[in-house]
Amino acid sequence: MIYDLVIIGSGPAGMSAARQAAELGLQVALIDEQSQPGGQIYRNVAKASKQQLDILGPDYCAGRALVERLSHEQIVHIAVATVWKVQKDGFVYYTKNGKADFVQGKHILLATGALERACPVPGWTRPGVMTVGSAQILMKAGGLVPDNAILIGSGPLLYLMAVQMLAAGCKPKALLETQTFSSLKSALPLLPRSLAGWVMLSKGLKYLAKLELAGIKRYTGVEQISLHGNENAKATEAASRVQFVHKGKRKELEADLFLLHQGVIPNTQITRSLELAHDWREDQVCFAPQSDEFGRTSCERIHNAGDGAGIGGAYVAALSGPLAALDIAYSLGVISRAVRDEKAKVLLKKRQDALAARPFLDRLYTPPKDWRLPQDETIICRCEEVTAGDIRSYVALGCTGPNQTKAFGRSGMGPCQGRYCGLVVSDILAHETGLSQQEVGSYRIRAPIKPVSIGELASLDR
Amino acid sequence: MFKPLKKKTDDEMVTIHFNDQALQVDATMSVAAALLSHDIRTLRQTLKSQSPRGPFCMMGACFDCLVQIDGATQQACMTMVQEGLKIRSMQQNPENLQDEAEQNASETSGSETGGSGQNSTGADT
Amino acid sequence: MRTIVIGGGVVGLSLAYGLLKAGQSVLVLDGSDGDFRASRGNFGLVWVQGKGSNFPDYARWTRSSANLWSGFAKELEALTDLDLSYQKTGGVEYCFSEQEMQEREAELLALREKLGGDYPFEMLSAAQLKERIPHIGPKVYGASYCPEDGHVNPLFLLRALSKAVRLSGGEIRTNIEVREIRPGDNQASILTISGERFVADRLVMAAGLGAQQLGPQLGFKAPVRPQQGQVLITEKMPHFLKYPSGTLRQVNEGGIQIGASKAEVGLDDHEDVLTTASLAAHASDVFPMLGNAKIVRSWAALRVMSPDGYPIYQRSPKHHYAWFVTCHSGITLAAAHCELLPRWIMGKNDAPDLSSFSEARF
Repeated sequence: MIYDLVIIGSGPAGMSAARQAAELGLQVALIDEQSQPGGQIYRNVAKASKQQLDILGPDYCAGRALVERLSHEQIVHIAVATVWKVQKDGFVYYTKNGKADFVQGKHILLATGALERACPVPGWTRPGVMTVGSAQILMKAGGLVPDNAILIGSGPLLYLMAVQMLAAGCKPKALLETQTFSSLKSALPLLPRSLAGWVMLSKGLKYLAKLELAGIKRYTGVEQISLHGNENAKATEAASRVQFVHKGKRKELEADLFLLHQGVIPNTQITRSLELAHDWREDQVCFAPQSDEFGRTSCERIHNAGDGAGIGGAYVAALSGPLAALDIAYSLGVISRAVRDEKAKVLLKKRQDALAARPFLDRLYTPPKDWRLPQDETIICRCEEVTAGDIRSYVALGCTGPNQTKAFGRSGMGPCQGRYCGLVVSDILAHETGLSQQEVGSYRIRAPIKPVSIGELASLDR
Repeated sequence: MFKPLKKKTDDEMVTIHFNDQALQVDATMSVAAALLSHDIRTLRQTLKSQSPRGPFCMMGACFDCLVQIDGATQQACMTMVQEGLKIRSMQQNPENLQDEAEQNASETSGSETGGSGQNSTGADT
Repeated sequence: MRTIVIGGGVVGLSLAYGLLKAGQSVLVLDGSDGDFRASRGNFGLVWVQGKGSNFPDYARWTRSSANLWSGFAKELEALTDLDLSYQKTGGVEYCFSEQEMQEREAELLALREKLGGDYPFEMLSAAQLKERIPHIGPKVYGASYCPEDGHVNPLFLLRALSKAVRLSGGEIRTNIEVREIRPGDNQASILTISGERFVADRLVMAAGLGAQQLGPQLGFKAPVRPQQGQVLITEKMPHFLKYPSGTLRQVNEGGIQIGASKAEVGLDDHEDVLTTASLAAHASDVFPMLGNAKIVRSWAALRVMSPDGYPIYQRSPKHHYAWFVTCHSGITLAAAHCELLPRWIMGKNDAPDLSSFSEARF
């Protein structure tokens, strides 16, 4: 059967879009990699225990309503399905239970969310170094809390994580924060005078007060972070120490676990593979696919909603999903333009209000220069172990674009397909060549978006 | 490095095997979470430099938690545990690698996906 | 006297490096990151087997390049400190039926005869093949084998050539889009989109598919067309496959590379599911144990094809300072393009006779 709408990703954007589309009478297929809907932000929310819900807080609980609203006879949820190719003609190929399969949609909505920005500091590939997001997932889906951990980087998630760890009885050992007083000073004029701005600010201050009360050591304006193992053991040791410079002094702390975070960026693997138009977003320091207020992309049949279209957070994503669904229903001739616009009015207003706080956050937590342009020895492509210095040496050989760096040194050619190194490579090339990131461009992404086995692919032969 | 939020009872646990080490783990966990709950953080070594790697992103994006399950490379963070699951870290010693290939070959020959409906039983090694 | 090579792929750079070694002053003009580049999408074979069965001069030319390859690779590696992973292992072509075996043998025997008896190959039964490649599956009936075949890391070759040209005093300008070539009596002016102008005392057109547009401006027919090929590569695997074939080889990093389709689809370099699925089916026919191996990447690239598929080496009939070089086997021929082709361009006494590769044949 041909679905009216195939949605990829069942986070807040995908779930809310599915419901809206179903209510308008569309036949919807919702494909997702996980067994439970929710995406990463609401991971496992329907199955979470009371204890988990208490620790993770009301923002997480909000996801339950979205999941509940997915039960609708017009919605087919294809879970534990890994999408590996999306085509402009509406075909979506995926693997489920070791078998390749596909669905076809008259329309496609990409709701693939965000990835954590790469954190290329020396030693970030060592075992025992993970992302803050990964630790959140372990709390949500694994019932595990980081113990004797140091949180490193910047962004609201760093504080949220610390507060959740406190609530779970595992006090973080320290926070090493890269944002400086001057980043605060340059962000302050962007603080919205609206209600949303005050809600956000008071939430942030409440977190900080909790951390202060618990006596958690915070180091701000931290520079030159590097992670090390036990010097007496082989170089193969997991990380056990972090070194950094704070207020001009070199310091070292020990811990069992180091959690990095430098904000999130749109996951553009599918939009890039479709060669949709992308823009460099200087405010968010990343590429995002072009999309209008309804999530229309440069391809007629493909919409994009949620963080994958530009970082706005879960609340904004849950508004963008229905907006895309309305427009798709209009495109399919199910509702009139007037009905679309009428129904969209409230959603657009709410989203505009919610996004008012974004410029402030983006400026305050802008990634520091030495994370964007790492020193030469630092590995940037984790899969193929290519360093920042390697990329610079390819520039010296006349390489001006990311695809030539792939050819010269295999960066971005491992199984992650450039998810983590892509942006860093574009940034380094832009810096070294004097071109803009837009001019430098990005890796060309090819199928499979995620690895597929030879047997699975071969089963589609003829 | 990680503490469980709640102690699970025995019937909420399963036994998995990581490189012949038997581990009691929470039945609702991913392989990566289960191994981390036992402080096992190094799951493999890279081919290029034999550097150790373990779970990093926990959401299927980084591919650093790759392990061998049933003769196939899988992401430990995207695979759920089940009773008796056998997990092996990716072998890097060239001599073991050959064994691994043959091991995989023989494991594959009976599997459903191995020959995609074609006769795959001939992979004798 | 300045030679300008238009095209910074493997063909242009091999020749540029050769010209530099012969003491020439060379500037290479190369395009942008997003251009169609066979040099970044090819399979990486240094291949003799079966080539030129209808064109013995091409078979000879191919073999002379294959025989130069070891020395060429060693020299490049020493100069650039890069490992090209060139291995002259001998190569196989798999057959799936007795009839296919007989046809292959007849073709190679005929070629041997045309070459005066000097053409090494042998036919291997399934049992003989299994001794060399234990993992082949039951669908494989046998194979032809040629000891002169080999393979290389083509991307490192590209990088090494790029480095070698610079280390030898050549210049490579990238992000150059040639708008127009204005031929004069003894020089040509090359005008770029960005408004730059380069003057060549000698000009070599090695622009791949770009020659379609630029060639006629120098009096060449330049009858090249794109032919799409798709390739898959798996995750890194334990090394089990020593011998490359035209469709399957294990690259030095461990991945199994699976190729390559042929499609006449114009300037389309998008991979598609049906084509890649048939490549995957072929791989699991030859090696059933690969069924669980994960494909991490697929791609399509465009071959640069002349009407008969063979190379074109042509001096311009109108402008004595201009040469046209094109082929679809830039990796195999890289050694000859570096060591022998400069002599032809410089008019040396020991230049190879390339008259049968003229575009007069079209």
